[in-house]
Amino acid sequence: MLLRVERVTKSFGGFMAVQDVSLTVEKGQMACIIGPNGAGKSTLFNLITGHLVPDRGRIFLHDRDITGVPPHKICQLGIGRSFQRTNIFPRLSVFENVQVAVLSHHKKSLKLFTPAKKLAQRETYAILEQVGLADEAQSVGGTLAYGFQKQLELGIALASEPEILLLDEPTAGMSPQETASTIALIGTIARERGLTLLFTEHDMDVVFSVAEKITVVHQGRVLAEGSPDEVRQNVEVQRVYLGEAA
Amino acid sequence: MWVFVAALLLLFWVPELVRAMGWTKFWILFFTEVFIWSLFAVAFNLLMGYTGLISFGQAAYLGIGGYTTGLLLKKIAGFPFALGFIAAPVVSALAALVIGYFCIRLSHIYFAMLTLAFSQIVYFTAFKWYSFTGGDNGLIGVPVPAWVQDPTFTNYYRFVLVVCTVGIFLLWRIVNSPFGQTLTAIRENPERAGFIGIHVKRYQLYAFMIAGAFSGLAGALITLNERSVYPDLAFWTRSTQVLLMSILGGVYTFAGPIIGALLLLFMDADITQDYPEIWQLFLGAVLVLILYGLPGGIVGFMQSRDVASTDDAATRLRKSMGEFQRKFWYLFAAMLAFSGFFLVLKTPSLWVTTLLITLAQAVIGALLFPWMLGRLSTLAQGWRLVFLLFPLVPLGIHVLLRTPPSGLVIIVLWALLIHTYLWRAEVREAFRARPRAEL
Repeated sequence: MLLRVERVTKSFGGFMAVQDVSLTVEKGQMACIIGPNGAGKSTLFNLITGHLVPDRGRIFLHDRDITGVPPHKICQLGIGRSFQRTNIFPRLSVFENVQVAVLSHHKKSLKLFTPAKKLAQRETYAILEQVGLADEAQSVGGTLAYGFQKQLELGIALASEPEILLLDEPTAGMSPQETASTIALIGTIARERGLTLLFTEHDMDVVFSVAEKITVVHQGRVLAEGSPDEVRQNVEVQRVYLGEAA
Repeated sequence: MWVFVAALLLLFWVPELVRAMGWTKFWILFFTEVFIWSLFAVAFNLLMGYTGLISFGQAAYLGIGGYTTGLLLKKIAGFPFALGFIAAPVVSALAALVIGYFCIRLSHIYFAMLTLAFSQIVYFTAFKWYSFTGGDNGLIGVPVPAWVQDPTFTNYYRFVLVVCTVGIFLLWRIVNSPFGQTLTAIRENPERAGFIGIHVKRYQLYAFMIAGAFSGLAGALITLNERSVYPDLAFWTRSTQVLLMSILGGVYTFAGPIIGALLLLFMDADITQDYPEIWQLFLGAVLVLILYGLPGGIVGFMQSRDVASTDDAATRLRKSMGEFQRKFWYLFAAMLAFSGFFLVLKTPSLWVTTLLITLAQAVIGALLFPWMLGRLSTLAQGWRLVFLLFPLVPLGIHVLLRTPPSGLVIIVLWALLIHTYLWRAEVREAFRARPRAEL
C-alpha cells in the first residue's frame, strides 16, 4: 500500500470539512476523488501534503506515519502535487521554473557560489520535453497560455521525481480539447514513469474513462469507493451526485 | 565582462584623475560614499528584490557592523585592525540570525513592521547606553591605521573600492547560484516553493543573514571613513534611504540598487548644494514619478517589457514601437517639469517667462515628435540616425537654461533609451530587412 489515509477528520471552527475519511492508493494505481464543490476534496489533499494537520486520524506513506510532517518534507519523501489554481513561478523562465525544482530535488539549493545556469540542464530539458514545453524553455512562465501553464506546473511537480502525484483538478478551466489532450499527457507520463496518481476531477467523462478506482466524497464523508462500474451502480452516488450531473 | 574590468580600472584611478584635473577632493569622498551605499543597497535588495522580503529596518545591521568595528578598535587597545574589520560582518550576521528568527515568522507588512521595531531597538540601545556606546555623543576618535588617514583620501578610496567590489561580486555569485534562484522562486510563490521541497522559512532566514552580513560590512566601512560612529547609523531614515535607492534603480535587477545609490547620492549632493530646503520635496516628487511611471525603476525602464513568446516578428516590432513612444513622451514630460521647476526656483520673479519657455517647448515637442516618431516607424535609415543624435537637443537646452546637473540624469536616460531601443534585435532586424524588401 503506497498511501493510506486512516479516518482523518478536520474541522474549521465547527464546520466539519473532512470527517472520518479513509482512503488507500496502491502503487501504480490511477485513483480519483470526486464529489461536489465543498465536499472536502481540496482539504483532503491539503491534509495529505501537510499544508493542514488533521484533528484526528493518521496518514501513512509506505507504512511511514507522515501525519503532521511539514509540506517541504512530504515533498522530499516522494509526494508531488499540482494545485487547483495554476501554481508556477510567474517571473521565472519556463526553464528556471523546472530547474529550481530539479535542483531542490538534487539537494543543490544551498550551493551559494556556483552559477546555476549550467546545472541540471539535461534533467530539466528531459522534463520539459515530456510535458511538451521544450520549445518554450526561454519564455517567461507568466506569459504562457493557460493550458501551457498547467503543463508547466506538471513539469515542476515531476521534477521532484515523486512516487505519487496528487493532481487537484488538473483540467479545471480547460476546453474539451485541452482536457482530452491534458489527460492523455498525464496518462502517458504516469505510464512512462510508473507513477501513482491521485486526482480530483469534475469532468465525469474523464473520471470514468481513466480512473481505476474512484472515491466519492460528499459533505466531508466518503460516500462510496470502488471501481468505476461499482461506483456507477451505487444508488447513493446516483442520488447525490451523478443524478445532478446527468 | 571586459567592460566591467575596464570600468573598475578607471574607477581605481579616479583619485589621480581628480588631482590631474584640479577638481576638489569632494569627488573622491563622493565616490567612496557611492561604493559603500551600493554595497548596502545590493545587500538590502537580496531581501527585497530577490527574496521578496521588504525590510524597513536594514539600517540596524549597518549600525551593528559600524559599532562592532568602532567598539573593538576603540575599547581594546592594540586590537588588530583586520580583525576588527572582519568582525563587523560576522557579528551582523549573528545579530541578523537572532532578529531574523523572529521576523520571518511573520509575513508582508507584519514582517516589515517587526524589522523596523528591531532596528529601533538597536538604535535606542546605541543612543542611550552612554557607558558602552557613548550614547548620542557617539564613539569619537576610532583609531585607524596610518594608511587610512591619508589626507588625499586616496588609500581609503581604493580600500573601499576593493572591499565593495569583492562584496558585490560575492552577492552577484549568490543571486546567480542555485541558492539565489531558490530565493527568487520563494519570492514568486512561497507555497509552491515549499512543495518542491524547499524549507521556505529557513531559506528566508539565510537570506536575512547574508543581507545582514554585507550590510554590516558597509557599516564598518562608514565607521572607518568617519573614524567615529553615531547612533544615526542605525536610524530608520537610513533604512528608507536604501529602500528608495533600490526602488529608484529597480528592484528586479542586480544593477538597479547600484544605479539607484549613485543617482540618489548625486542628486542629493547636487540639489542640496544650491537648494538645501527643497531636497526632500524633490525626492518626494521623484519617488512619485518612479512609482507611477517606471515601476521597474530606472534599470527596469531601460529593459523592454516581456513580449509574449507567441508573438510574431511584426507584433513584436509593433509592441516595441509603442513602448518606445510611451517612454519617449514620458522622458519629454519629465524634462519639461524638471527644467520648469528649477527655472522658477532660481528666479521666481520671471515665472511668466519660464512658463512661456516651457509652454513653447511643449508645443514644439507636441507638434514635432509625433511626426518624427512616425518617420521612424517607416523604418527609414536616415531617421534612425536622426534619433541617435537626438539627445544632443535636450542637452543643448539643458546647457542653455543652466538647470542643475541632476537634469542630466533625464537626458542620459533619454539617450540610453534611444540607443538601447534602436540596437534591439527585432528593431535592428526590421531596419535591415526593409531595404532588402524594397529591392
